[in-house]
Amino acid sequence: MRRKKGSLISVEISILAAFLDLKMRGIEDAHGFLIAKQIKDQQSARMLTSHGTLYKALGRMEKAGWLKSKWEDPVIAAEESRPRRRFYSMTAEGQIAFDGASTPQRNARLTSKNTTS
Amino acid sequence: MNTWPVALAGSLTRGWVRAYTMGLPARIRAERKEEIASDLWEQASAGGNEGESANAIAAHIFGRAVLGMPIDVAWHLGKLKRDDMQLSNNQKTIVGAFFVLRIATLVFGVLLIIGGITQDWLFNDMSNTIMDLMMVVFMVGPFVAVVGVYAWRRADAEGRSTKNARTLIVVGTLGIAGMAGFMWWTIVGPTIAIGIVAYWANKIGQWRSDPPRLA
Repeated sequence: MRRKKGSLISVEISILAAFLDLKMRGIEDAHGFLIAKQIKDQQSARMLTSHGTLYKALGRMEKAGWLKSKWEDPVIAAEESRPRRRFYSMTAEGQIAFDGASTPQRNARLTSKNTTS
Repeated sequence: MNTWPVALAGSLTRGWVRAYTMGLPARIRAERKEEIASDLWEQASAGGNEGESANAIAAHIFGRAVLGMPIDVAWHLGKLKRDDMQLSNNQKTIVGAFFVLRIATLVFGVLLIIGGITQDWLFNDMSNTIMDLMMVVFMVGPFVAVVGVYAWRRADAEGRSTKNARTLIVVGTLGIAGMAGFMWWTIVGPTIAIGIVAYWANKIGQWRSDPPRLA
């Protein structure tokens, strides 16, 4: 079934919610693993989001304009002897899409935030 | 953190990424490989900092890769739908079907090997294990030969040495011959299959290196 243009599915809401929480901690740009870890912590899940689900969703959301990405400077990665990171950040369109979402996941997330605050 | 379970899970995951990105445009392929490599490094590093055992980290990495496999296949097929592949709809269907067949064969083969060897170990029947491993070598023969044909075509087109490709074809043929020696009646199916697969591998290779004009 084709979904309505502009509507969000569960994993996309989780990703945007993760960005909002990271933003509150002062983190604007996040790489894939950090996003997966944030989602896991938010949902108290046992496992991280699978590679396939996460990166397919990130690619789709970037194409929709909800996220933008940039590759890290390879020199920095080389200095730290690790692979180069791809950093994603949420756009204003992403914020609007998240605010406009009215799915149970978003409501549940807002409820849990109110409970903890 | 670089203990062997984590390294093994990382290698298997990277191998899977290489398998499902095969045939996609070089930039898309390189980006996905680099992104997953970064993710694997971050997960191993974070797990180590949090005091997770190497086995637990490896299980998590492998679990994430396995759970995402169907989505990875769908992602690959989705990329074929894009116009930038410059293929007609019929060609995309054939390329897609070929890709699904290849992935299904890979997954089925790995499960068969793991299942067969585990069963032999459980029942402590090592003679069966050796026989199973020999069968695996023979069964892999046709696949190695097809890869050889593909590699030969590619090396030839790029003006590189075809020595490695020819070695693959010889090794694959020896595997097929071994299978023929042990169970000659099983040679008929793989021989037909290798012909069909080699034909389409060659055809798809031609489409990708020299895309036909679309109306």
